[in-house]
Amino acid sequence: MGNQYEGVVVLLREIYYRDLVILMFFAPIGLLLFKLGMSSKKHRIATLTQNLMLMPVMIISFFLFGWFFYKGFEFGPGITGGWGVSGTALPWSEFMGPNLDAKPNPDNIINTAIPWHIFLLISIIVVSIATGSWIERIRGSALCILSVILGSVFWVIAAAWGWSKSGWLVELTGFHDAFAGGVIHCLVGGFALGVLLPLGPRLGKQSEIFDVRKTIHNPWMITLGMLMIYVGFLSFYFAAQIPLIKTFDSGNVILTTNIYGAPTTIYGTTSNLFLSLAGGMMMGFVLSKGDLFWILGGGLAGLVSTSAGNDLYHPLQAFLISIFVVWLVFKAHHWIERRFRIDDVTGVLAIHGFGGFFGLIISGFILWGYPSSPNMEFADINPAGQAFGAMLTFWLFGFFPGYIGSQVLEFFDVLRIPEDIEIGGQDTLAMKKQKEEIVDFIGIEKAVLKEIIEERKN
Amino acid sequence: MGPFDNWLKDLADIGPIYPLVGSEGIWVAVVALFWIWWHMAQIRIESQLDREQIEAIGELEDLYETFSEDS
Repeated sequence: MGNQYEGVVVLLREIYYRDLVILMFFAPIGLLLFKLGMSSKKHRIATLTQNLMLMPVMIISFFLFGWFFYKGFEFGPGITGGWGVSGTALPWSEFMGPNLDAKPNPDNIINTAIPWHIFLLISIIVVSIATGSWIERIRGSALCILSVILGSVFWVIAAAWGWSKSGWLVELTGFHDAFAGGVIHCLVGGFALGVLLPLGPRLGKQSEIFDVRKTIHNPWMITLGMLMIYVGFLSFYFAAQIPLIKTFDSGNVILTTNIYGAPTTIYGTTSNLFLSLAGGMMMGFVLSKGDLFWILGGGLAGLVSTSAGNDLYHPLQAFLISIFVVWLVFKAHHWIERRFRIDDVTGVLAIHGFGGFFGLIISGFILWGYPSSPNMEFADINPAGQAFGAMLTFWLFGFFPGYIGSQVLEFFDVLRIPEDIEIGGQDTLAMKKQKEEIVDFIGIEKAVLKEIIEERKN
Repeated sequence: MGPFDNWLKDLADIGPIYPLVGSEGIWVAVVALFWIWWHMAQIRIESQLDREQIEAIGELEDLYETFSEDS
């Protein structure tokens, strides 16, 4: 591989990922707006401040150890199987700062090609998704601690195992999850459920469970938020496709590859994304008889449902999978809600958890026999491998860390806000101060006005 | 302070361009301690705000009378 080619690819990647970082920011912003739209007025300022603090907490924890977990756990087949080049991802490594020698390692070109800040943004997105299900009753400090557990530890290890070129899940089981329907969405759904069980529904001891459709407080905000999430989703798709050199007999070619280094096309994956969105929104509309939450949520569940195989599906296959999975998601959501009295404010368990889970299972049958990786020694895609990956991401990396983490917080009595505050509203103090400040301000204005009037009289 | 004295070298020979190369471990320790302290401070601040919040909310019976449908 010539230096010129390498130089062009390095430049191409730098431009590509620099622009995508900006576009991917739409996702956490959209998720924040979505949560605010689902919050009641008495909790809205608290929801905003608590969720804003997720960002700095994720940034610092991901720098300190999140990136190291991805780089360190991507080799297998054991839990680690060696640390590979993870030394460069340690927070004290010279390569974590501006370094003119920080060229991609040709032996591990794919994983060194995706910069850490893309993974950081994905981590912020991951925790922003999960936290939506717990709003209005979880403490801000619990939100931050659980987010670190999810976003800087467990999702990155799952990604290292199943969403990297050399992950052992890919190698041994043929796990294929091109756009992270499992390692992000299925996992997030499991984690959200793990926290929801100890946390309980809103207004503590009530027997009547909230239905998400009854708790939309600002339809404009959730619509704007969800549309921004769609933009972030599209940007994430681009970020998960890597411009790379492939050497063929006829020479070197620069092409687009998926996270495993296998060729794909941006044209095809983008078409699949749009068809999945269309199928999900249409099915959401029909099932809910035009309800806003399920039109938007159906679109998102549709996107999630095809993410495992959207590098290979035909757009119409993506459309059909999307409508089928959204139907499953809708039914499963209502069954779980009724049966287990689970109050999932933004529908994370259903949309992301079930959407990702069912999407993985279906992809195992449809893509059965495809190579999971360009490495021909790796297992082919198969239903058992996909099902195993779905169970692993949902339960081992999602549910159990969420459940244990929230139980520990519950033990120290820092998981849930006091009942009086939940009923009276977390914004009571802020609103009271705001009212007092307005009264003070009006007092100052009146004094100034009086002064002006007297001056004019004189 | 700087790890190099001119830009006219092979860039790979220059390597890291930030000041105080070699002392990264100390910064990591300081930042990690600050990060842990911040979480503890957040819990403490929240508990204090909760007490003030409960005081501001007052009796739940009074709240019941004025409960807004919009909330």
